[in-house]
Amino acid sequence: MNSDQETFNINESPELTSRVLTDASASGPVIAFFTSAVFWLLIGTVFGLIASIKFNFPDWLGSIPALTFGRVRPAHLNAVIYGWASMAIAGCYVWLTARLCRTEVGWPRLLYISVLLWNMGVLYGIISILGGHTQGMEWLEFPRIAVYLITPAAVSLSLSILRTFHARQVKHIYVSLWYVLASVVWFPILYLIANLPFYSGVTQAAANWWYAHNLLTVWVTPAGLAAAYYFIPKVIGRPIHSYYLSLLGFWTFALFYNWNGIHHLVGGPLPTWLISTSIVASVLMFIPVITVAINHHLTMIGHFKKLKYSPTLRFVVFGAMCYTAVSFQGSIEALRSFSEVSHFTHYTIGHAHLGLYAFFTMILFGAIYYIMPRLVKWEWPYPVLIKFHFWFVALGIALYVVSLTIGGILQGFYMNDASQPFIESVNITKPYLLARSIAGVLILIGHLFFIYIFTLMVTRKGAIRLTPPWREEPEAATR
Amino acid sequence: MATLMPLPLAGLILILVALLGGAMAMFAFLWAVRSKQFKDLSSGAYAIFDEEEPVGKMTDNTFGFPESEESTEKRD
Amino acid sequence: MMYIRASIFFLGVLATLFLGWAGLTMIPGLQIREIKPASALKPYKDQQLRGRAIYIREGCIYCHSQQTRPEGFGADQKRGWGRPSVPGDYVYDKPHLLGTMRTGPDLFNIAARQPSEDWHLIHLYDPRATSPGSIMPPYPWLFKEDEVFSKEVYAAKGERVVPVPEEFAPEGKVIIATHEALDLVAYLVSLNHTYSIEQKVNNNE
Ligand code: HEC
Repeated sequence: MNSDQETFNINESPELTSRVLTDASASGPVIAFFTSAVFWLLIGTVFGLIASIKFNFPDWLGSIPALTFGRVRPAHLNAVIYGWASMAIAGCYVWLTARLCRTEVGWPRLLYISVLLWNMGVLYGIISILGGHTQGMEWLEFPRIAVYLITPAAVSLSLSILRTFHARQVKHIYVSLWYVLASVVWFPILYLIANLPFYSGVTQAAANWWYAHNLLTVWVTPAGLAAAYYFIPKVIGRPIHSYYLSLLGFWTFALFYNWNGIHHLVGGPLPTWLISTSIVASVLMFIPVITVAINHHLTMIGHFKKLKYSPTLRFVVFGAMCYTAVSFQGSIEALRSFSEVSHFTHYTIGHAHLGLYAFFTMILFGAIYYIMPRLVKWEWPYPVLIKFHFWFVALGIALYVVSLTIGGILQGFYMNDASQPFIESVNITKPYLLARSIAGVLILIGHLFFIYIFTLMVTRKGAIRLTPPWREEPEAATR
Repeated sequence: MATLMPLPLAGLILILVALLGGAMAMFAFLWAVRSKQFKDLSSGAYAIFDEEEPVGKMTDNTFGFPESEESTEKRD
Repeated sequence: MMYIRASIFFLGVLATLFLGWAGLTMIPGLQIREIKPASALKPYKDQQLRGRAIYIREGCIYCHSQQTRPEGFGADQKRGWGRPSVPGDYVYDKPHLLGTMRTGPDLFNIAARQPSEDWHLIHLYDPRATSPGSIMPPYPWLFKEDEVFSKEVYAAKGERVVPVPEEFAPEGKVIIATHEALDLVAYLVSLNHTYSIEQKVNNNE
């Protein structure tokens, strides 16, 4: 309260000043997190593309052990999850928390340690996977040492954010902040429990998928929703439509989403009640999802024209719409009759990318476009490249999801038709897998645009424009 | 196979802690809802706005500015 | 008031997580523990375990599942991929290799379907040599090349010649399986869970 008083005295507009201070305190660690994230995004995209092309040309790079499909694929997944997604989330959380608490970032040194450990962990993990050292479970491939590096990194991040929260200068805890706080409490615990060594056999499979799905529950999805709940109202300048709906959405989300994971093992050798519980929870996810969808839509209504002016809004609204889509898809997919076809096929991969890319990554792009200028005090050079970025990745991911959805369902039908030799279920997917690789190329090109302007931004290079968003005058708006 | 561990004591303790902590927290939460702990949260929707960036003001115009009135139009 | 609310919030957050964890992993863990391994199920031998490690290292799991589904759920039964798997089949598996993808066929009972070691060796060296149109990657680093000698020479050297069809083998060379290839194949030809199970275990349907 004291510092608030002081800034009030020295400046006529305390909010602006405190916001500037808040942003300034976040700038070092957040830029470090984002830069690392963008680096891993590039690495992850390249691995993903290699893995995809290997489906089209299985003998391509076929004699290099480190680049065999079974190693490149987990390298891709882990690079984008623990490298790109996690560090983008970290940066976003640090900035959001400081802003929403209207205070400076707590314990910033911990954050630098966190960036360092996180990068070391991911680097070690990826190299290990390429070298053939893996724990062998999807989403938990990283060997122990990487886990020991990433866990303290995650804990430091959480401590810093809780410290910021503790020093908050606001009464109301904005809905985004709930997601952030829940997330930073959940994630380190989840990560640690999942890596405990006392599972085996089918219990381990249950733990594996409980973890893999909960990583979305406690880490990826809250980040996407926190950002959407902040940036949509903030960019268009209109409060979220219903605050109560967002509260309901949060708790139902937390309650049901935790139980979803085992639908990945539907039809498998696990107790029926367990899989059924998961299916029920997956279907119940309709509730939180609908509340979020309605809320965001009602907030946006009458403001869709603003998509034209704001890259952040474009990316975030695209992502929010895909959140609704992917959640509905997920709920339906969990049903037995549907998963009988879709399970074990490329359909699931399409679904995963609809969630992790079309929803999460797009929203995080939007967040980065908003946050970076305010930290670096530099405007985005060449806005046209942002448009290129948007259209390349938007079309790329659309092609990606559509081709794998169709290909996957056909694959499922052929696989479930015993009169067809198995190889037919492989042959039928080939054109769709080729389309997927093309989609991958589009996405990579989009990322190269993004990485180029991001680099210019960090180094404060490129064209200087006239109206930096952070010191835009009211008159300029009506120019 | 030596690596096949029986579910160790730690697991049992954890499950007890989980159930206990879970039950306690659920009751606490229900109590909180009933005693209207979350009542005044609705004003929280305005927490992200302030005098410098009030309701009605667009805060990202990287692609240019909207034509005149629209951006300053006030909404409830 | 604020502190109470904040601590309640955190408690709630922890509770939902722990509830999920307890429900989805600990309780089934306890339930499944009751299940004894089927008497016909043998623990892995050393060589099979080494092969299993290579299966993990090369990421076969990203294309192959190891779980067979019951009648009425997919075509596993009609394809003759073996009876539905049960928790008791997996007691020696660590890490588990259930998998979630079937770019290639399920391998839980591959040994019953394809017991030939030579077939597996050729297939691993170049999947298209046995299965035209396959998109499975080749694993040439599990093999080495040698000059063409008479059979006795290889026997003396202790080398296992892989009968790769001519058009897939390098010209004037013979393909020799390394220990790793032999271990992996030993694991594959041990994957047979078609023995009948005595107790009725709680499974799907
Ligand atoms: C890119 C995906 C992919 C990867 C990775 C992969 N496979 Fe395959 N596998 C296939 C496909 C597709 C088939 C079906 C066509 C064929 O027989 O090659 C197959 C078939 C098989 C078969 C024959 C199954 C049958 O029913 O005839 C075996 C055995 C096999 N794979 C073992 C392995 C092993 C061992 C590995 C790891 C070293 C592995 N596969 C990695 C895709 C893959």
